[in-house]
Amino acid sequence: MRLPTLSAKESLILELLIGAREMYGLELVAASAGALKRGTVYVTLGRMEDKGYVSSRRESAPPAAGGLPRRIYAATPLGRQVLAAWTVAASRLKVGFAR
Amino acid sequence: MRRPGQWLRTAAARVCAAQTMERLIDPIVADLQTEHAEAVQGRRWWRTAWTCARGYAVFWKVVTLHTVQSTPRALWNGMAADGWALGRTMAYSLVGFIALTLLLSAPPMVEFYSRIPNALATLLLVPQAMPLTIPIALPLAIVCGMWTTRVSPPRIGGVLILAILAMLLSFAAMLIVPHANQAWRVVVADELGLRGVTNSLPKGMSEMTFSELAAGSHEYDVRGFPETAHKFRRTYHLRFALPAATLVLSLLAAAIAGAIRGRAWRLVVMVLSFGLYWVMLAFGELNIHLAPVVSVWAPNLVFTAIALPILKESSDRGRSAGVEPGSA
Repeated sequence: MRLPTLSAKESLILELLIGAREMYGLELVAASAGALKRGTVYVTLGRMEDKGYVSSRRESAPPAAGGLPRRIYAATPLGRQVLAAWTVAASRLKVGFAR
Repeated sequence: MRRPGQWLRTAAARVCAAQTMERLIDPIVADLQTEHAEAVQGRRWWRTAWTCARGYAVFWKVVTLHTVQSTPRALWNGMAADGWALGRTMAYSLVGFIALTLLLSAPPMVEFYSRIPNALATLLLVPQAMPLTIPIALPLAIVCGMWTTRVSPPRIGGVLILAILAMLLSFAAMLIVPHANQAWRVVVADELGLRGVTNSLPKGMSEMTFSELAAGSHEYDVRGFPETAHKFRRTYHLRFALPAATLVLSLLAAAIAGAIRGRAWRLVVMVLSFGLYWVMLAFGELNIHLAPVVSVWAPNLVFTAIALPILKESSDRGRSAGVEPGSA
């Protein structure tokens, strides 16, 4: 059985999404304080969507100033579960190394 | 009013899959348009320009990254879906290239090593075979690897990409050969104790770089030796035409694979094509009244003119019939 993996960026994205419920890509970039980059955040989000960690939808109302509707991202139950499991694992490893 | 990024999105939609558009291209363009609209509303014109520039830079960065990351997987999936015709062709061409290079370079290497046992000098004999073996190995591999497969546009595209890569490799070999040849002569001169006689070894045409060949042809023109100048120019053009032959002969091979029934007949026709190519080159070499650029490039042009219509016809036939027209 292959265990779900979680990279540092994916973990950060999940933490931000769980905290805010739903966010645009640029909001994630702004909230990450430079850890996430414009454009490449969508590559990571696409990968996370393939893994089932996040879901996305197009914003329902068109933007007030026109243009393409943006995508909004949210963490899925699987994503929350994986983040929780990795958080526990990381905290136990820290304790183990500290001894 | 055309919004920024709209033409990028239209261009990307022609080549990108729907999922890539939905997950990657549209969000980036949407961000660009949203930020641009905010800057315009705020009448911050410098920010408008900066937003556009940054948005376009992000777009190209992400497209490049995505292309690099997804191309190997897409190629693998494409080759698997294609019955591994392209994979077979690549494997056969590698084996053919190694076998032909060994076949051409082994006899002189063995003979040379038996007289002067210098490993470096012996290895320096290998590169000169490569500009000949690459244009032969890939077309033969195409004829063998594309057996029992329909000549379809994706396969032609795959053959084209392989042929272009092989052509670039052949051209790289052409750049290396003069240096390898000269290095060999220097090592041999050292071995024979001749370096004390002269500090520099005069180069023959095989050891000259492109610039040296061009300078040499000009010098012999000025000195009044047109035949020698002709040889220099011919050698110069051959160094471009032979790598280009890789592409031309590969297209011809794909045309033969699609048009001719019977594996043995395809190989026979391909080998005869090689023979005809070299005969045309030899004819050009003997006929000094023909301009070098014409005599050297004529075989490539003739074979391209033969290959393209056959390839198109095979492709159209295969597409409409839904069967494999060239299968044995």
